[in-house]
Amino acid sequence: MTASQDEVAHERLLNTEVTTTDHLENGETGKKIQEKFCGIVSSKSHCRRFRCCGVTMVLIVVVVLIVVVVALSAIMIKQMSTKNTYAACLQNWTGVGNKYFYFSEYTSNWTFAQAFCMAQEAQLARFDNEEELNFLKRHMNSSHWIGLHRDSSEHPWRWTDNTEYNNTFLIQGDGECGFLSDNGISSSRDYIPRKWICSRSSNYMLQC
Amino acid sequence: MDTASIYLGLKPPRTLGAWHESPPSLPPDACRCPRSHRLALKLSCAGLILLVLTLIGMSVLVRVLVQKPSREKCCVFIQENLNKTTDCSVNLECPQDWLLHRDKCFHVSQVSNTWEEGQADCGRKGATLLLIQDQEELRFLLDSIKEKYNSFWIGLRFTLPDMNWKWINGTTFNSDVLKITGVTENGSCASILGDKVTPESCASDNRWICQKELNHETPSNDS
Repeated sequence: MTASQDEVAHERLLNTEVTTTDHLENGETGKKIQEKFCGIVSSKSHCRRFRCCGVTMVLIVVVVLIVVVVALSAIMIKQMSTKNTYAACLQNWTGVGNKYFYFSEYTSNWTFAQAFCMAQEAQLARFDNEEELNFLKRHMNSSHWIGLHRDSSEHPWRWTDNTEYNNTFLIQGDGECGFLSDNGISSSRDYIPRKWICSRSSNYMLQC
Repeated sequence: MDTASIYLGLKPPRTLGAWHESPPSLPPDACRCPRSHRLALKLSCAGLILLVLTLIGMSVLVRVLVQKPSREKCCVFIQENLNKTTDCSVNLECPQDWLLHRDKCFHVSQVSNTWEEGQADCGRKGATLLLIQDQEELRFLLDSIKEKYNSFWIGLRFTLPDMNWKWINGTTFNSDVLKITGVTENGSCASILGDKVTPESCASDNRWICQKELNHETPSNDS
C-alpha cells in the first residue's frame, strides 16, 4: 500500500511539473503579446488622437477665418458697387427742379454731342420754363449745344425726342441746330464745334 | 507540499484568461476613431478649397471696382493770360482793355450777337471786324484770348455776286495765308475757333474781335 501511494504521489508530482511548465510558457507568450499589442496600439491610438485633434482644430480655425474674410469682402463689394453707381449717376450733373443737367468740358459737333448724351441715358438739354433757361445761361461761359433741331430753315423746331418746340423763346439765326449763347437761343450749322448740355429727369437719377 | 502544488496549478489559468481577453478589445477602438476623423478632414479640406476660391474671386472683384474711379481723368485747365507789352510811340497808344500787337489794337467782345451786330459794334468803337494779316497775328490773338471754347466773328464773308470770300476792306481772301474749313454756303460769314477759320450762318450768335490800326488817327469804317 505504501509503495502504491508513493507511485501515485510521484505521478502527481510529474503531472504538476508538466502543468507548471505549460503554464509558464503560456504566460510568457501572453505577456509578450500583451506588451506588443498594448505598446503598439496604445502608442498608435495616442498619436492618432493627438494628430486628428490638432489637424481638426487647425482646419476649423482656418475655415472660420476664411468665412469671415469672404463676408467682409462681400460687404465691401456691395458698398463699392453702390458708391460707383451713385458717383457715375451724379458726378458732374447739377440738379434744378425735377431735372439734372450736365455741362461738357470739351467741344464737338451737334450730332456727336447728342450721341454722347444718349450714351448717358440722357438727351441734349431741354428746358421747359424760364427758370431752367436762366439756370443754363448762368452756368455757361461759352456757347453750348442744346436739344433743339430742325430739318431746314423752313421746318419747325423740335426737341431731340421729336416733340415740337412751343416757341416760347425766340430762336435767332437760320441754322438747323440750336445752341445757347449769352445772347439767348441761337442756331447754326451742325458741324461748328461747341460745348454741350445734356438733361435728364430726376426720376432716372433716383432709380440709379 | 500537495497544497502548494494545487495553488500553483490554480493561478496560471486566471492569468492566462486575462491575458487572452485584453488584446482583442483594443484594435476595434483604435480603428473607429481614425475613420470618423478622416471623414471630417476630407469635408474640411473640400470646404477650405471652396472658400479659398471664393476669396480669390472676391479679391478680383474688389480690385476691379477700386480701379474704376481712378480711370476717370481729371483735367485741369490753366489759362494763361499773356500780357505782351510792345514798345510803342508816345503818340500812339491802344485804348483801355485793348490789346496792342505791332501796329494794331485788338478788342475782344464780351457778348454774343450776329455778324452784322458785331460789325456795327466795332464801327461804334472806331474800328472794324478783325482783318487777319498773317498766321503770326492769328497766333498772338489765340494766345491772348481767355475763353478757349468760343467762336469769334472776323471781317470776312462770302459775297454773292462774286461767289468768293472777301475781307470787309474789299480785299479778296488769300487761301495761301489762311485756310477755311467747313461748308461754304450763301449768306456765310467767317468765324475763328482756335486756329481754324470756319464758315457760319451770318445770323448766328458769336462773339467778335475788333481791330483798329495805329497808323491812322481816324480809321475808316468799312462795312
